[in-house]
Amino acid sequence: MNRFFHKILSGGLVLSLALLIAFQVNADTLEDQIADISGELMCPVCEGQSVAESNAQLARDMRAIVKTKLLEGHSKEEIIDYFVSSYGETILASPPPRGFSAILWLLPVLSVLIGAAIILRTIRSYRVEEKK
Amino acid sequence: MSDLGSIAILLSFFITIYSLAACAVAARTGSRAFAQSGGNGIVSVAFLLLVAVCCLVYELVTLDFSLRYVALNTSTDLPVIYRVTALWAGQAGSLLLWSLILSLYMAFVVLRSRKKGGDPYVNIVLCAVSVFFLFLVAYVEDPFEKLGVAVGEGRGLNPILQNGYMAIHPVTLYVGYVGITVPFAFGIAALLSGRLGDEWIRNCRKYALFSWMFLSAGLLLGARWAYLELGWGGYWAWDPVENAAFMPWLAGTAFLHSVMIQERKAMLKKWNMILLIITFFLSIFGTFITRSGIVSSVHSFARSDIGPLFLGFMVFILLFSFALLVYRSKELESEERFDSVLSRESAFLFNNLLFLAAAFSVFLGTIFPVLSEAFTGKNILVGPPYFNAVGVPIGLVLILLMGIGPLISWKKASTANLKRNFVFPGVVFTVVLLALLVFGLREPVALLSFALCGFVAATVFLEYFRGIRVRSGRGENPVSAFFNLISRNRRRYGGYIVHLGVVLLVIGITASSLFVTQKEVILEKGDSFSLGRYDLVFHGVRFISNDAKDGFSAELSIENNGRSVATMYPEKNIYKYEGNREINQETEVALRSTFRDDLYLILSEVDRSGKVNVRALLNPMVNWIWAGGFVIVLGAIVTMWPEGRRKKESGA
Repeated sequence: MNRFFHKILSGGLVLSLALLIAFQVNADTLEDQIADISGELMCPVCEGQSVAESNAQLARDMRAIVKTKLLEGHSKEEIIDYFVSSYGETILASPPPRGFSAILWLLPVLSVLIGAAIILRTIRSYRVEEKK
Repeated sequence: MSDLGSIAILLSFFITIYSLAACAVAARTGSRAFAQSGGNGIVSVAFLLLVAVCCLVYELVTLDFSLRYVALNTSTDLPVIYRVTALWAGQAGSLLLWSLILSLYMAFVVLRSRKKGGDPYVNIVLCAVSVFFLFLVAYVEDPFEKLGVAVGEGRGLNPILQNGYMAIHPVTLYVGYVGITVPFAFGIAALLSGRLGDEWIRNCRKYALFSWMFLSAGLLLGARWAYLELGWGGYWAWDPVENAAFMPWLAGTAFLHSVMIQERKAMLKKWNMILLIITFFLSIFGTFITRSGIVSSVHSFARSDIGPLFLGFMVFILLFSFALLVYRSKELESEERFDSVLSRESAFLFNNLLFLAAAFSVFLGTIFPVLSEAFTGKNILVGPPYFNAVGVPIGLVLILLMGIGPLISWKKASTANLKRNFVFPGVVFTVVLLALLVFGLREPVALLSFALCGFVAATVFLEYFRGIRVRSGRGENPVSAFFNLISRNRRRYGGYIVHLGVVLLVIGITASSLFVTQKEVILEKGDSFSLGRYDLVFHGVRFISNDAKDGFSAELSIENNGRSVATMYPEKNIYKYEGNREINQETEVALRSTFRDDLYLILSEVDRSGKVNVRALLNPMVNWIWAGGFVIVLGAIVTMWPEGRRKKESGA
């Protein structure tokens, strides 16, 4: 019975992974794309809200620009670069992982890896000690 | 009244210093008389601060504009309820409330203790923290400070704070925040006194859980407030002040889990102490962030210049606590060892690692703008894209561990244990995944998140099912077996209820953050547009006016398949009373909420010709978040419920 379950389990996992890869299509609507891009830009006149969230006039205008540029066929990167070139990097809701800001992105990953290594080492060292 | 309040605050400050000294003498000499006197001082301070808060509330309600705090935070047009809540709208009042809550906890700890006057070591730590806050209230941010000349009208309360949730959210959060001081005090007291058995853990566990519950509830109430009042369609913005409350929650959750290992296996004693110190540090850091305005945020109504004092206090806490820990470190060795990666111990360790990594990432993201400015001179922001990118993977693994932890065996899991416990949850995981794929869901994060939620729900179900089966095998009917099961082992089964609440919460967060449908439209009277399964028709805009505000209210009727389901009125208001406020406009969203989705309408602009700019969002399953919150609180209450009745039962 257990073997049967195992087969179902592993079969299901493989199947679902295959489906996951096969159906990885991006059918984002225009509204989704606008929300996605403007979510990475901060509204310059409101504290702590992104362009996607803010109801301020400027944020609405910026969303309109995003929409126009998307319809003109610009990519997400191009549109974000456009805003960075006119407002500077402060417009970004999170800094890109370059220069000093690389620390911001690397440290969380490093902390998890180092922590995991410490835990595994601790457990292993106990086991080795026991065998002796 | 204000004089009475000032005197009460000053007395509290000096009595707390006295109690600190008396408890220190009692700790050194073992004198019960001093311990009792110190304890009495603590209880009397709680009473004095209650008087001080009542005085301030009285001044706020009666609008005594000769007081700076009253003039800054109220105005004549403010309803009485918001005059009372203005107590925590500003700096001085918040700190006073903070001190009061701490002193109530302290009095409770003293009165509950079996020894008269309480444990002097615990009281020393509590008094030391209290002295810091009372110093701020008495000498730096005096809520009863008088203005040179009384003004005729106050500045008024920011309209976004005039919301029912604002009446409970800050207090709830404070009860959680401040409560962390109590377990911290127990831990440090154990280090100070050298009584390092697991007694201190058992004594402080309920306080830790109690403040964790309030912290959780406070966070969710804040999210609810943001969702209803800020009008941007979301409930969590990774705003520095939200992060400030979230960090101690993360570290505290890690602590609540890892104390179980110490209680059961006498391991991780040092580690638990470190977690406790970090949690307390983060709660003070959170207060610092909120109260100093060092990082800009939507909560920036709480700024001032008490930053350096807080910074000094925080450095002191860290240096003192860790020095003490190093001093005692020899006595904190584990009595047992780890055997296998496949064990509950190791599941708990990884749980701790991820919660701490999450807390660390949030901490880093919150202070990084300050660091960047200091080191590179560049002004940057760290917002949702960063926190989501880091938080989502950590969160998903934590959900997986939430399913594995409770079912994997201690010490070393055998293949039999793994098969017995994880085949059913594994099947549920697979079935959920396949079903969602068949129904056309293609978002990898959502698929994984929902499937993992299925996995965890299955483990909880399995545990309840087994417990009930054993009991009904002894002839109990299943319903009473269910309740007896919980009441016999409240911690375990209450904990599972909390896990179930987290599952609901995660489902709600996943759905509502990944599957929003939204539109931004400009409408003339009679125009219609569709959003998801709804058709919305705009019927015009109405001017509304009352004593406090002028505003516009748009009327939209909502149809589903040609059937009218609702009429909704999103508003845009301008508060008449200008005062000195920065913000006097607010949008009042219209919300139609079901467990399937929320229709969320924002009136962002009205022009002279009656054309309106409307943002409409269809946020799926947001209600699951609030429902999850209820279940989490329920589970926490079950876990904490006093054991008194259990004895009667086992006697029967």
